[in-house]
Amino acid sequence: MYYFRKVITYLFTIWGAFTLTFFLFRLLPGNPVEAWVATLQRQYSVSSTSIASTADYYKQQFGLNGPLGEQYVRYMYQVFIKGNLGPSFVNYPDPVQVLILRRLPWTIFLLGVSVLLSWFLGIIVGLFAGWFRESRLSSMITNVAIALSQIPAYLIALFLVLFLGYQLGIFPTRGAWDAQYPIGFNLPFILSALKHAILPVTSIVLVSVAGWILTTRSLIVTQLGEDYLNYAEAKGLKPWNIMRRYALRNIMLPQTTGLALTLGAIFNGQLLIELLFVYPGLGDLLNIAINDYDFNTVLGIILISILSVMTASLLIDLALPLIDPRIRTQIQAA
Amino acid sequence: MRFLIQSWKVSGKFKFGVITISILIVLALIAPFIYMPFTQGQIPARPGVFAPWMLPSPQHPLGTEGAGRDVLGDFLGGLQATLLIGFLAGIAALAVGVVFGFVAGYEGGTVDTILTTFTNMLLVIPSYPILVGLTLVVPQKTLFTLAFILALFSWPFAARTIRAQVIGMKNQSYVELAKVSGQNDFRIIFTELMPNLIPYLLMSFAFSTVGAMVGEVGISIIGLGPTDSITLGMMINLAGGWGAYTRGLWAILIVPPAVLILIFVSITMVNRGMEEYLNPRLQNVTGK
Amino acid sequence: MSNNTKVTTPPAPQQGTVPAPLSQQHALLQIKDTRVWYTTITGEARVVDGVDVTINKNEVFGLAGESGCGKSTLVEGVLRLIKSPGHIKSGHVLFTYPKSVNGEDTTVDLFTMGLNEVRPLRWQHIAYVPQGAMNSLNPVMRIEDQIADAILEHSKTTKAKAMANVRQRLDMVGLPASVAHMYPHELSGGMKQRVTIASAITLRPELLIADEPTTALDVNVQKVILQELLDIRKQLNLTIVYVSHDMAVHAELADRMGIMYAGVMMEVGTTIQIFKDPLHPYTQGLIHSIPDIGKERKRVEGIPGLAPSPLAWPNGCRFHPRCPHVKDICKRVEPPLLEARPGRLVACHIYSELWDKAS
Repeated sequence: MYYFRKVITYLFTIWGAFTLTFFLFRLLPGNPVEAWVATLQRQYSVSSTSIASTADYYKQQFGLNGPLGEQYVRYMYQVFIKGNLGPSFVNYPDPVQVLILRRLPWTIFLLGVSVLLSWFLGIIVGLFAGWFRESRLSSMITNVAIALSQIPAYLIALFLVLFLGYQLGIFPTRGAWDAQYPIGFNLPFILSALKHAILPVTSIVLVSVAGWILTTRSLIVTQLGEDYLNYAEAKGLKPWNIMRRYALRNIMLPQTTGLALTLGAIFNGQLLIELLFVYPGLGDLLNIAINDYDFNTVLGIILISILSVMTASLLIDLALPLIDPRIRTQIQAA
Repeated sequence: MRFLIQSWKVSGKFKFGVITISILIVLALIAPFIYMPFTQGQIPARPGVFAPWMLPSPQHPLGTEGAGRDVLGDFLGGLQATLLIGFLAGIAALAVGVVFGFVAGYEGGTVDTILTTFTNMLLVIPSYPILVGLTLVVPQKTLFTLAFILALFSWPFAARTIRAQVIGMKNQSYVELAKVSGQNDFRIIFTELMPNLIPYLLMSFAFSTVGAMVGEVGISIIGLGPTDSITLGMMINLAGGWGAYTRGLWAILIVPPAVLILIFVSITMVNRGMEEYLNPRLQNVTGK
Repeated sequence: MSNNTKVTTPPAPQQGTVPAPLSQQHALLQIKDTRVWYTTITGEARVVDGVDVTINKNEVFGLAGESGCGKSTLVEGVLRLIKSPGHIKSGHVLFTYPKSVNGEDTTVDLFTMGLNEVRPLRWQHIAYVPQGAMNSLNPVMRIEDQIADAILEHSKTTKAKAMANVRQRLDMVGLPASVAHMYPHELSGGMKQRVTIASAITLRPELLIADEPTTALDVNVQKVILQELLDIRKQLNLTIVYVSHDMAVHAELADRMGIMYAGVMMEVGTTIQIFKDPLHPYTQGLIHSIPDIGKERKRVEGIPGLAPSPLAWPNGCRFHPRCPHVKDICKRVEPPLLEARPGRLVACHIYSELWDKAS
């Protein structure tokens, strides 16, 4: 029953969110074909009759013909039953999924590395900041983390680009690798990709590590008030062991859950960072697509994002009872 | 009121945040008096008044940018516009959030399920693409319409926070007592719930404000800001593919992002200070 | 039991190890002038405010008193578990234990030792059964791992031997071996409490301090667990300090008792003496508030008045605002804890020579 309800909520939320998005974009004034046709007319003064037939042809190609309800049904059928996101406008006639797949690895690499790095660092720093919460260093770290936590990463990126990129010229500020190296599994390419990732990753990590430090710290501080920590001390366990086996162990579950949710959200977190660094990921694609009213591509990217967020949270809902015996008991009791 | 005074006493962060944001607000309020002498009496947003890319001089303490505007004027006008957008969007988001949060939390049952499901759907839609899409097509992109669009994406968080608090409070004995004694729901909401929720309303407001301003910077930075005024985010865009860097116009490169960071940090500190007062566990040092 | 141990003035406590004087060979734990205060916004809360008491070897010492009298804080202080904003204001806690090397007894002052020096004593010599076992077990660790970790910390035994030890101790408290693999949330309150007892006795400590271990349990389970504690004590030659507000539990369990009130010790004596012939007016009040089963029904008398606040204890005798016998001297002079009858200590002016003359 628990699992059933979770899966139903999952499907329903995806459907709802995606439907909302679909209608929102269809209701915006202007569509790609009309804009394109208008340009054609202006630039080449093509006759309006041949234009009309061309426009009709492309409208059909992009699924923009017929009443809105019909468009919606057709689109949903095509996407969810046939698994086809439709042709892209910016790269016609390549289907959207091809475009997305081409750029997906870069976004996954950039954001994946950033998320994992901040998670790992944040937990370690937060653990110590919480454990020694009365020390001066701890409150300093906490204050800095609070300050950093709500700053958008791209503002930090601006400064990094300015000083480390332009002024000192240490790190590259554009692209994902040097074009002179062939993409593939070879050392120069990998090194070049890593070097290009340093500034964007650093900007993201600086902000998101702060969030992990704060949640870890507050979870640890909550732990410090728990009876079982006091009891562990009464048992004569060394503080180091108490910290690892009791405090850290108890926060790993919420923090791992948090990590999964964050990984799920990597497609909608830092689109601007990609833009700023001209990084060939989904953010960059989205920018291009939006400027050309490429509905299919924009919807495709949003769908990927919704699916990934929802799937991460569904997986957690399904996995938690397996990992945490307390939740299992609750479900059985309910 | 007592709550704010207590937060002030308890939290150094709150003090820092309140002082910083107050200074920025005062600066924004008196902005015209400062920039008028340098913009020849024009509003900052008007382009082409001066020669572009002039280096700092007594006439233009921070120089001019690519569109021929005084950078100091841009900055002060931008500060004004950015804070105003945040404030307006924050108020709008709070209003919607309060209605949604209260109705969902207080009514419970099916109404709650429907509203919560709807809110959750909105929360999983990535807001940035839609924000960009909307700003591309909206006919008259003034500061006000932009604030309104930004509020569309800020309210679900406020609604969720308020709903959680209302549910927590609804089951407390004094509310139940009021219910049993036959007071009507509106009265209960305004006399029993609202006063206790003020801290959370303030926090939701601050949170929505930051969210809206972050969103504004996000769209202005790619050149889609309001058409009737300059914002700090637009200034970053105006630094123009680093044209400002090669010309040595450091002010326009550094001041807007730095001031934005200061705004975000100070509001975050205010929020955190209130949280610390409400939940002493968050304080760096307990006891003492 | 050595009920009439003569309590003499102890030697001035010294740093670290002190040889036990002959006259105190039976003393296992000597708590001297112990104060544990909590710093609050409104001032110092003097929760434990000058307690003197001696626990003898092989006895069950019951520590009684209303909630808020400082008994839990006292034992937490003895165990050095006080956390900020609480702090040990003054005092000495001399603990005498056999050092395994040459069989001789060693006496240390738990209050002057560093926490790193106290740590090896824990569980090996002083074990603790906490108040509210509900939350004292780590929710994400198996029972056996939680018990074994203390064994592995203190002795160089193998993991297999430690696990065998765990099974044996679980058996002693009447828990099946299957409990070892379980997680705390799978156990009932009584089972969890048994786990904490099993854990406390794994290393055969000399002293077991149990802080209200059965208070949260229903009466039947409580009875069984108390009986098990007594059995274990016999088998392992334990000394137990048992903290409870419940006089009925003390009547069943304790050899000697101390009655605390407002952060100080009001009366110390054997359980029989205290129940048969309570000396302090406060103790008398406590005893009278226990309903007698089987006797003619009569109204249970509580002690009138409210317990005072640790932020401002009453001047003079701390009990005087609630005492039926109060005289002027009680409001001015705090009575010391003195031997009023052989082997019986009481802090009350009634038993001083001046009482009859006082107004």
